[in-house]
Amino acid sequence: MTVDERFFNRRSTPTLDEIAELTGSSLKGDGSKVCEGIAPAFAASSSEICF
Amino acid sequence: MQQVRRRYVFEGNPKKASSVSTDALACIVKQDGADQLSSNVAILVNPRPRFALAIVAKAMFKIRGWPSGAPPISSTATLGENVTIGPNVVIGDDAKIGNNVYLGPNCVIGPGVEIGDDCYIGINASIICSVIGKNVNVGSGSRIGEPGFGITHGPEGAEEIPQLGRVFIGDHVRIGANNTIDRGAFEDTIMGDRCKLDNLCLIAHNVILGKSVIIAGLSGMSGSVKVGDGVMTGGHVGVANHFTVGENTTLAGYSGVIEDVPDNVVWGGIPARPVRQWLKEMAWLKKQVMPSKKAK
Repeated sequence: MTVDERFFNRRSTPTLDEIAELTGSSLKGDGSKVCEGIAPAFAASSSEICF
Repeated sequence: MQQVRRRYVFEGNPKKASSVSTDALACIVKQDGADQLSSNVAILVNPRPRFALAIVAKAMFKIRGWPSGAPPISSTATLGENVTIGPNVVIGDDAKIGNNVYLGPNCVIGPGVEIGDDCYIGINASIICSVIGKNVNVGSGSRIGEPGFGITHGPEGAEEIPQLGRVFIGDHVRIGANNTIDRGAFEDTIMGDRCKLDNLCLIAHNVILGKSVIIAGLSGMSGSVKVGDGVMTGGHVGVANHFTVGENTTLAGYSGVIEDVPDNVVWGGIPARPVRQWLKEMAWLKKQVMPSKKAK
């Protein structure tokens, strides 16, 4: 699900490198890619992060 | 009704690895889940995936509110014909109100909310992050679109997970007084057409109610519960999170559901089970406690 910007303001579109630093996670993958949304694991798209 | 438990949490559980979209940009997992994902998916290894997700969600999104000094009714809100606006009503930016809608005193309609034609919104009701169909009756004091109860543990203790979903309510729905319909976490909370809720019910985040679901007072549907079309519940029913109640099933008053319930059955008791079994068990138990004279 893409977060609905009728109801939520976007604050940032972080890269995976920035997310790794922000959360203290170790990243395996291309850290330059930009994350535009958050989604359930089964429905995440190529611009969305999931867990 | 398809008996599916919707769990979006992977966190490295081997049984859930196949549920992760191979299209995903990245997945936050614990160390032991890092080798289970498609090579297309970037991996962020973290000992607390839920907490990490909460940090990301807070960094990326914030709920729309009201700017300081905003007028009670935003100039960017759209009002249909014949809308009745009671005293002290507040309507946020870009909200859309249909024709013949009644907004009772002290209603708050959040930014971006859409309300269809012929709706009645009672006194002191608030609606945010929601899309409401036509001919919907929202009782006084009801709260629609509040954040669900998403909590996780961080290094300093309990932390809230931002709830970034919505509420969708169909047509001809009745929501009684003082109900709470929480918005989804990262999915949506959905009520189908012609659902009817009594007073004082809780519909938690990510719940899906089918069409014509009837729920009596003081009942609660926990997070991600799925309720089929035509289900009826008595009062004070509770369904534990992630379980499914099949179509046209009836749950007796005070039922406590802790497993999936099939279609077309009548269940009752705590834990809920087929009602005839439950009644037989109660009768047997009563005999043990209070044997009749004949039995003596």
